[in-house]
Amino acid sequence: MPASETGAASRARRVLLAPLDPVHDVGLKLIKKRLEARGHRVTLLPPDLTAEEITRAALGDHYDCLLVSRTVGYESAETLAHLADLLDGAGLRPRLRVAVGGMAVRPELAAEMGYDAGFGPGTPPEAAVAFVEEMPFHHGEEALSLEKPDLCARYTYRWKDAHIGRWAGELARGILAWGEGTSTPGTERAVLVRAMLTADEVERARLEEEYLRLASPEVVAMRQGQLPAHCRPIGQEERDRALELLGKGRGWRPLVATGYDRRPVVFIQYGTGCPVMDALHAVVAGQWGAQGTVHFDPAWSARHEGLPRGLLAWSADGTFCTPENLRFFREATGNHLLWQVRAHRGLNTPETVVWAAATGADLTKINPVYGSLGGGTDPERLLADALFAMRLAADYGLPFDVVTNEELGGVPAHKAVAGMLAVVATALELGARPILQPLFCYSPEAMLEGYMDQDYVDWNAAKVIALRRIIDAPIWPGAPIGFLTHTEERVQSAVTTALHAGLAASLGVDAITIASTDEAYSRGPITAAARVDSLRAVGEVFRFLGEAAVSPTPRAEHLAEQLLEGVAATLREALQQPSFCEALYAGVFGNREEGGNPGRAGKGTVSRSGRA
Amino acid sequence: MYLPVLGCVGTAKNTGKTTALTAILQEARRRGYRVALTSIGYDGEELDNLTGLPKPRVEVHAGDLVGTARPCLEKSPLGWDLLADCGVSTALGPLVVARVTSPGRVILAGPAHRRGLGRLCRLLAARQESDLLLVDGAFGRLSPLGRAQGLVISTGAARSVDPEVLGREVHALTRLFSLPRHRLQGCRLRHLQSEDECRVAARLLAGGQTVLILGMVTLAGLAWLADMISGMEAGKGWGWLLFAHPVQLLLAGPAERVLEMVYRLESLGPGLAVVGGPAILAVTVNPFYPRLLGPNRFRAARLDASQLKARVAEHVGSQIPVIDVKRDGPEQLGQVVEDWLLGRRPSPT
Repeated sequence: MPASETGAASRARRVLLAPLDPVHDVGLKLIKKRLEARGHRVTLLPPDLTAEEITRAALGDHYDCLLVSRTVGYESAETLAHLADLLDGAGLRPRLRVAVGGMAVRPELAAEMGYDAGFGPGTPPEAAVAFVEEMPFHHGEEALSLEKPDLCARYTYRWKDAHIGRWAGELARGILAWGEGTSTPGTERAVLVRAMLTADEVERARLEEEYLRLASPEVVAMRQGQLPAHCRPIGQEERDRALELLGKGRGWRPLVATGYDRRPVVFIQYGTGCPVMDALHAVVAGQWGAQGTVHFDPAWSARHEGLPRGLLAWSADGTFCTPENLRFFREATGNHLLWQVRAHRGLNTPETVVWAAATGADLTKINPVYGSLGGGTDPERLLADALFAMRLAADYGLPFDVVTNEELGGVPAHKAVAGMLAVVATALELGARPILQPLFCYSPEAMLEGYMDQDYVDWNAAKVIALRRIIDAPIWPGAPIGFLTHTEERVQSAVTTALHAGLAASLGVDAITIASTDEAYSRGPITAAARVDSLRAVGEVFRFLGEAAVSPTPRAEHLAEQLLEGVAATLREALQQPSFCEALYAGVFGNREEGGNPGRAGKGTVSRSGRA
Repeated sequence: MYLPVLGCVGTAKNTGKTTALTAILQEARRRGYRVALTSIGYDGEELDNLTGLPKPRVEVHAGDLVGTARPCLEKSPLGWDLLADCGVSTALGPLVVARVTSPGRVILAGPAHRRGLGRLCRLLAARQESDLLLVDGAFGRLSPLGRAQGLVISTGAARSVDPEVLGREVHALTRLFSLPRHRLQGCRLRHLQSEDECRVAARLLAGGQTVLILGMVTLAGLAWLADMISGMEAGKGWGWLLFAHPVQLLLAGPAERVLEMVYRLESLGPGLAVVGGPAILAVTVNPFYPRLLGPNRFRAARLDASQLKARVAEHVGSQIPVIDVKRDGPEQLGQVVEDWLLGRRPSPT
């Protein structure tokens, strides 16, 4: 607990405050106020004194502590070091404990300059109070020992809109009946992989052979060492060096708290292609306040049966979801961040869920509606795989979000939300814990219909308002927030992300996924620094809003009602179809004109007499 | 129980202290000496805390003793056994002594003040496991190294890109460290920084008494004292003006101005000496400097190394070797340190 919260100090100290700066002493004035409130006797020197003058002042009374403030640059560091030397030379040390605070100050630099403590930007005054009182202060370690939040814990999953709940439930039961006895190469591989996890070496080799019979030739070739272009194995030495560089054992000390003790939890999405770079980005993002990461797999994996193996770098989109890549990420980043491994759009959905659970992921991502209408996989195949994957997720206790990113292709929100709700109802029938993921951005539908001509608040708010009226379930807008609202300009991008985050916080959602500021123009690799831009901006908006909130206009209510009507109509229309699967092909949840394009990958691979 | 303490000090940051220290470390090991290591700042990091440029790393071997903040040990990729807690706190945690059990790079964050270094020295000396304590300096800081018996001074382009300026400064430094040593009985004055303190000192000196200054000395104090005694007569002859340590004088201001003041005082009558202080064993020169490109942006740059060394050597004279460790190699510096350890070079303390 910070010293300032424990009442008066046990012993009054004599404290000298010295702004070794031409003008600024606001920080010291704040500290003075806190120290005096705790009964310490404090003298604040005027700004712009020399090191000699401060030393003379320190000689003038029996001070216990001297706190110096100064912005550190190349020259001023020398001045601060000289002051430390003068104090020592005058015989004042170590009776006089000395700390330095200011921009660019870090404990390492404070040690180098000869100080007992160093307080950098963002340090609360309580840290200085704790230093004066010789009490421990654990600002950074609070975050260090933070327990990862359970995004689903406080929800009952009770349907609040009885009609929508009933229709979604009917669709869910239809999906389950349809799925009875189905199997695919994807579900069969997942069964094999699950068995491999506990098998002995001989049995594992046999299972592996069986696995390869169910895999695409490209994946078999990769397993045999023939890597495709853009793919490179990472050797043991490189791996070990990366782990060392990534701060194995260095601890985890967030510099900026964006969401501690409050919602929403902030996720970043990674998928540079290189697991080392991913881990580096995650560590950097974690230190700048991110609380969660999302593993982005390559489109290549969505279109090939089976997953490659090995620690692999890939110079196209996304990072291969190999067990070795996943394990490396976990080892390199520790267990401080919530970690989602996506499994929602391709031919390896069930298998990915197995590996996600086996490597310690906290969350996964499953939605056959988006994956088949916006992700390129055949609806029948993905529905069968997703059902199996949801069973696995329920078995593992692994929550998953159900994303509505088909809106990005132009599918109207009410159709995307209706598809999401049918999947959510199915997940609930299976005992899983789904999370609603509405799109929080300037979608094509919003552009066409003019929903966001007035502002960017009402339409996004309407989605959350509508979902809250439908079901008591966690909401995690994304992915990422502000998508298509971002331009190629970094400041605009950071501000847009931050404002969407502020709106999300105002609406009390559980989590958000944010983009880096260079995603809109990089069209590929992004930089860790650009992630920090977004995180810093989000942190500032959270600080700016505090307990206040962004307030939508009454139009949001109107849009929410409109959305509810559309969702209800879509669900009713889907129930008219012979099956949910047929509804997907028929465009009930988004037709070709709207941007819902049933995918072809895995078409004709569902069997009704399989072993799954 | 005596443990020689050798400090590597610089006239500024990035003048080559750690390079000198690692050269001495390498040579000391090669010559069979057991070494203990610490720093009065923060050393061994990969990149400079201010400039972000690469820094020389400190490699330790099994059997070396190190005095550093415990969290730094925990972050260093090496094996170690904890031997003692020094009871001294640093900005990075409690100062401990550890024995290295497997080699690796170490981050050193040692005592920030003289008493802390004194405590570490006593602890290491009592263990009798080291023949030499090497202390890395920080910035241009000198005060904690008042505990050392020997110093290697590093200067270079990071201090000034004008070799003439560097030469004059090092000359002044070496002169101040070569002031006569005396242990005379006399009146003790805490500081020499106010007019009142100077007035008392002037009267005592004019009365033939020895005056020992223990604490802070300022240039203004030295100037006041000189002005006061210039108008005085010393009937029984002038007393001695003693300083506890040359570092006291160096903290008063730029070495050249302090030396001018010392010459002025001596010319007015009083004898001037120090009670103790380390010997300067060598001066190292470093042509590297971080060229400032903009706010907090630096690029590595270099002066002409031969010209720099020659000019500094001209000013220092033949008594103290001037070494460019990177170009000359570590042997010469190692030989100087061994001569000192074996008593072939007298220590003035």
